[in-house]
Amino acid sequence: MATAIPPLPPGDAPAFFVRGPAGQIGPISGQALLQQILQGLLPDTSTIWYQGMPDWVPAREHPGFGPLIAQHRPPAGDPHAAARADDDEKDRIFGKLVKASWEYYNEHVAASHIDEVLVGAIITCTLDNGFSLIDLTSDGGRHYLRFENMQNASRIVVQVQHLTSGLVDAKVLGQRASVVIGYGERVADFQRVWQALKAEYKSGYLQSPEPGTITVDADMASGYVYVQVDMYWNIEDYVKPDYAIDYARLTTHIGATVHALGKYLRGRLG
Amino acid sequence: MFGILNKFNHKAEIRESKDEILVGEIVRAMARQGGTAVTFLANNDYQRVKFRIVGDPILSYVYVTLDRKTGTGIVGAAVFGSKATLTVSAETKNYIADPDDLVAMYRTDLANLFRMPVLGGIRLNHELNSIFATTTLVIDIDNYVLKGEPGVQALMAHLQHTIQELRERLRPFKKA
Repeated sequence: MATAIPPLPPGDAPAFFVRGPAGQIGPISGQALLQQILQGLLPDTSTIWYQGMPDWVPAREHPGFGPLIAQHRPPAGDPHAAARADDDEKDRIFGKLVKASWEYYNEHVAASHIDEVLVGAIITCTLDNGFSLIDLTSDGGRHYLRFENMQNASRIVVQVQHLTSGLVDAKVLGQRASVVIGYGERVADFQRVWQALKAEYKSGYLQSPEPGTITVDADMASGYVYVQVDMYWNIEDYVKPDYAIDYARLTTHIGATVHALGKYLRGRLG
Repeated sequence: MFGILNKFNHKAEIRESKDEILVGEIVRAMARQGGTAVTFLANNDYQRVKFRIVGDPILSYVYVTLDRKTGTGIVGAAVFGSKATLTVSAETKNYIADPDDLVAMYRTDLANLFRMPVLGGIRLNHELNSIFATTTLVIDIDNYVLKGEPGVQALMAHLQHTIQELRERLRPFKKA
C-alpha cells in the first residue's frame, strides 16, 4: 500500500529540497520555491521532497503544491507576469522587515513612556479619592503633580522621575522610578509655619534623602506646610506590559503614604 | 531640600488652576473609557496629553490639547471668562509597508500640508503610517470643573461624542 503524502510544511519554513536542471538545492521555504517556479527559474517538473514524504515528486504533481502553482501562475502570454511576481515577492519581504521593525519600535516606546502611564494612573486614582489636580508640570522626564482636596484644603504633591527609561536598563533592572510624595495642610498660625521652616533649614543638609526620610517644608505665600518622603518604586507593580493598571494597589500605596505623612505633620506641629 | 515645591507656580487662587483641574478630569474620564495616558506635555496655559486606546478597532491614539490662550490673570479672566480651546485629535494606524501605498500616501501628505484647520470642523491628515482626524472647539472650563460628578459626566459625554465623530471619519481609511 502506498504511503500517503504528508501535508505541506508552513510556507515560511525552510523544509523543501528540490532537484532541478542545476542539481539539488535546499532546504528552502515553500514560498521561495513557489516564487522560483512562477518566475521561471525552476521548471514545475522539478522534483521536491520534505520530511515525511515517501519519495520525490514533481512539484506540479504534488497534491498540495501543484494546485498552488496553478492558482498563482499568471495567464499564458502575459509578458510582465514574471516581473510582477518578482515585484510582489520583494514587497512582501520588505513589508515583513518593516512589520518586525514596528514590533521592536513599540517595545522601545513602551519602555520609555511607562512612567507617564504611571503619572496618568496617579492622577486618576487621586481624583477618585476626592482631590482635584491643581498643578501639572512635565518635561517628559520629570513629572510634578499637585492636588488639592476642595473640602478640607489638604494637598498632595507627587514627583515622578523615571530612572530606567531605556529598554536595556528596563530589561536589566526593571522599570524603576524615584517617587517623592508630599502632604500639605494650610496652617493659620504663622509661628507654627516658622517652626516648620526651621526644620526645613536643617533638612537642607540632606543632599540626597534616603528612602523613608521625612522632610518638612513650608510655602509662605500660601501658608501651607508640607512633609515629604522619598521612595523608589517598581512601575511594573502598577502598570502591566499590556497597559493594564492596578488602580487598587496604587490607591492603597498612595493612601498609606499620605496617612503616614499626615500623622507626622500633625505630630510635628502639635 | 524641597526642590519639588519650586517646580510649581504657587498659583494664588483656584481660578488659576482651572485648566489643570480640567486636564485632571480629562485624564480620569479617558481612563474610564479605556484610554491610558501615555504622554504628558504640560506648562503654563498649555497642556497636551496623549492617550493609548486599548481594544478599539479603529483608533490607536487620542490626543487632547487644552490651550488657554486667554491666560490665567485677573484681567484675562474678567474679559474672556474661562474660555479655552480644546483640540481633540484621533489617530488610526495602518502600518503601511507596501512601497506602492507609500508612494500614494506621499502625494496625499503633500496635499494636506497646506490645509488649515477649521474651528469646529474635522480635518483629516495623512502621515504615512497614521491618519489623523482633528477638531478644535472653544469651551468654557467652568462648565466642567468643580461641579462634582455631574461635571465629570458632562465632560465624559462631550469627549465620547467628539471621539465618536472622529472615529467615524477615520473608519473608511482603516485597513483590515
